[in-house]
Amino acid sequence: MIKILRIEENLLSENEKIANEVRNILKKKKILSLNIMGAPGSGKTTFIEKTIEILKGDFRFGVIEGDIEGKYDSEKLEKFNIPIIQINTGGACHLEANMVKNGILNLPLEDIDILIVENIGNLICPAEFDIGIEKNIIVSSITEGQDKVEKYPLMFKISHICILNKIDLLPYIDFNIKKFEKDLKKISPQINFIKLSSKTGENFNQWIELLRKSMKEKRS
Amino acid sequence: MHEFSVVDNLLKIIEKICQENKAKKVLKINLKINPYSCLDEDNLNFIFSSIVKDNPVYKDAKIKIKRTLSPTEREYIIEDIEIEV
Repeated sequence: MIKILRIEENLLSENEKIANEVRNILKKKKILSLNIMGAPGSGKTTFIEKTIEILKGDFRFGVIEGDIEGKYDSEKLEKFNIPIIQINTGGACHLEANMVKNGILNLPLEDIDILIVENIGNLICPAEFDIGIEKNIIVSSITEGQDKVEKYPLMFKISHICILNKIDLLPYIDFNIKKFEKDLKKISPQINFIKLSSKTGENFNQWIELLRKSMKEKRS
Repeated sequence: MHEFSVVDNLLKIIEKICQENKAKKVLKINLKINPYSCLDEDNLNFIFSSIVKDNPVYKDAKIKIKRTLSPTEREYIIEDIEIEV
């Protein structure tokens, strides 16, 4: 006999449950948390480096670095003398909530105002998993081409802030900002869009101001 | 390659359901997902069948994906499963 059973259950419910735990822990401690996502080489680590460099006198940072292998990124941030947890997924293409939970349980949360999570360099999988972090930030760079929003819509749909990085290279690269922005506003009308260069610092203050504003809201 | 995580979670859930319902065979699994999700039906079926190929209960099951959730819902919902009892 054939039977059809209605299930209506979320396959990712276990991940969702842990993501909620992470959200609650961070909320209780009044920590602002950022999930930095983007393609390999989009400049995520340099963006994080520059952010900490500018704000380290004002806020206390903690970082969770997600990579498939190696500790290159966390070594780059060691100079700031801040708590850093390196997670190596050993092949997995994205961070899941349980990895982030293990990360935060090993961080001195009492001494952190802003927690930065650098997700695995990938435009697909990290977008599909809620990790309990407050602000999703997609760092895209002009060297990747203007078609990224059109080709990877979910990443831009779930992000609150879109950073278009490496604008100092605009004179050398055929990048159609209008096309990128049009696609972005279509898929995610509410998104905060900032064009900047982490290397030269051009427009970087726009991002810093946004972050200061979010911290103010958090503390009020 | 997050299809591995999906299959792993899927198996945990359907194993329990199959035991409760004394299923001899799973024939079909219907999933509902976000229209923008990159989860691919062929890829998912390939990984699923590679994992369950020696298990007589699951080895002929086919997963069908419907992209009917709202674009902001990051869930993969198992809508229903068809079993032989």
